[in-house]
Amino acid sequence: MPVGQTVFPRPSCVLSRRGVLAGAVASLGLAGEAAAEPMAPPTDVGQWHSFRDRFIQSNGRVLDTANGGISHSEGQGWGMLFAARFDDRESFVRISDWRRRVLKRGTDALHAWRCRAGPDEVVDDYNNATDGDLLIAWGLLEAAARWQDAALFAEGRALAQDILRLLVRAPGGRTLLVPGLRGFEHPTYVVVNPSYYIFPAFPVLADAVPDPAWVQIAAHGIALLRTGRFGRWQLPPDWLAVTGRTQLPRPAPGWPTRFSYDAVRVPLYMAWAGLAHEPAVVAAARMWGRPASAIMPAWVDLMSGQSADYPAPTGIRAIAHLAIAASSGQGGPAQMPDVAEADDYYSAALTLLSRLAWRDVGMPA
Amino acid sequence: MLPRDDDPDRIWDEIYRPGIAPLPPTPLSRQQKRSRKIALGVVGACMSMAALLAGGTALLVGSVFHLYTAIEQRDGAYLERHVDWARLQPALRADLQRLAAEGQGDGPTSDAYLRGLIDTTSNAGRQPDRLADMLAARERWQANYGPIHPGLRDIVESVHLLAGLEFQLDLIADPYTVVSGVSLCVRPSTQSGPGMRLITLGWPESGRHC
Repeated sequence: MPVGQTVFPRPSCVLSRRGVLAGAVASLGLAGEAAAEPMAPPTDVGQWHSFRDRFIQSNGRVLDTANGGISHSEGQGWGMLFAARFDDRESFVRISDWRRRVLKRGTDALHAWRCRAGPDEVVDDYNNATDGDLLIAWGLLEAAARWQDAALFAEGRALAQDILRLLVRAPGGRTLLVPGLRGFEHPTYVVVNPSYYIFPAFPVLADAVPDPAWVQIAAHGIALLRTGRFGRWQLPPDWLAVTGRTQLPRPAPGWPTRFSYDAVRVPLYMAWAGLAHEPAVVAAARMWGRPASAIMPAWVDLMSGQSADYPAPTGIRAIAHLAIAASSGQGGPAQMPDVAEADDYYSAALTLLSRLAWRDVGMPA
Repeated sequence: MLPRDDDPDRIWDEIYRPGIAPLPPTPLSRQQKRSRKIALGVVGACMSMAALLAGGTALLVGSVFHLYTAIEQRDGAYLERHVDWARLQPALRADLQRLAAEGQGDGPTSDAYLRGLIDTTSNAGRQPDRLADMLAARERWQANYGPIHPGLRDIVESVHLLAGLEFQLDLIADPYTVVSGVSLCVRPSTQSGPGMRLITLGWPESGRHC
């Protein structure tokens, strides 16, 4: 019997409630057999509705309200993941269709990273963003598992294959995910965005496209985040310059040396994957949880030590709450902010992601 | 120039002298007999070796081609019979563990997360469909260009004979072929008829083969 006719899809496409590891382990005895039941949708569906109703247009376009109403692959990917998790197939189809129609590149399975604001849906930069493509693949594979949809699985699989084919580099013995196809490779270093390492997505993608490269990306990524930390708080910057394995990474030239809106996702994704005791998460939790702090700053400059003079938005507070609870066991679900409290798309998305991560890693409900 | 002979009769007699009988065959000595037997044995052994080599090569080539085709066509039934599943999955897992340890370097361990990822990935070594998934993941251009059926010389970069009649076949690293750059490690088996069984895989990233 041709293998392609076996039961679809593999069950471990679904992350279990106990997190990524449990999801991966659950597949051991089930792979290739009857598909397992997808995990039950979260009960706080109001959080999803709050996000959907504020930031997703009727045609499925997710609007970044903090950036003038542009749309991007990251937003579509998060929207797809949320819709799949909350078992909202109608919304998933709309978000995914818009993504396919507007952002999908013709030459490969990747996506253009940005669509200009406005109704004309003009893509003005066909370069991709690796985090957006990882999120879309994750969303497609979760949706395929939930709704037993072979076409979604095939699309997610093709995208995961092209992520491996086009976005993995090995400078000086390090296996790296570049942030995009173009613009990040320099003669003596490669620029990496640590927050593009979406650790909870890797087991799902590895299940669909089993390849040793996922193990290498994850292992080298963890190692990179152990050494690529700077300043008083020993935090990862938004952008890192990486050379060979024998040299330490450094903040990328030409970018602000901040632990800021990008890098705040490092503790989110690491805690979500069960890596809450990694130094990058512990350091962020320590900075956010310092008792002397009057306000939780929106960003910290890793070179000067200067902090933002305005408070972190709701989404960052949600991540801080997750990181502190996951790494030190302090705090409960009652302190987790609501999506409705968030001022903009990004903050709302981070809040909803933190809530999903909280649930996945088995924190008290 | 030949020397002249002044006595042609003598020459004539030498040629036509009657009563000269042909020499009786000289009986072979024991040593000569033994040498002859040895020579015949060596020739026979060489011929047998050549036949064995030709047969073995044909078996190897045929098996690899069938394996390759089974992977390309995702033929689970063939893979089920021609893969040593008891050896493959532990070998894959060990290889992935080594890759993870190399990648992580020194420092606190992330074993739980990476072990899950390794489990997920090495599941490909447990069942035919998962193995086909793993190998087909390397078929980078298949979706765009459709199946390509190259000749064997377009697939295999080199062949190495290992201990215990195991062979390592390094497939070429070419985006137009399935399982680009992977090494297939096979050994003879009669379990499903005479042929080679896949015992483990080697990845170009790992630098480790059979």
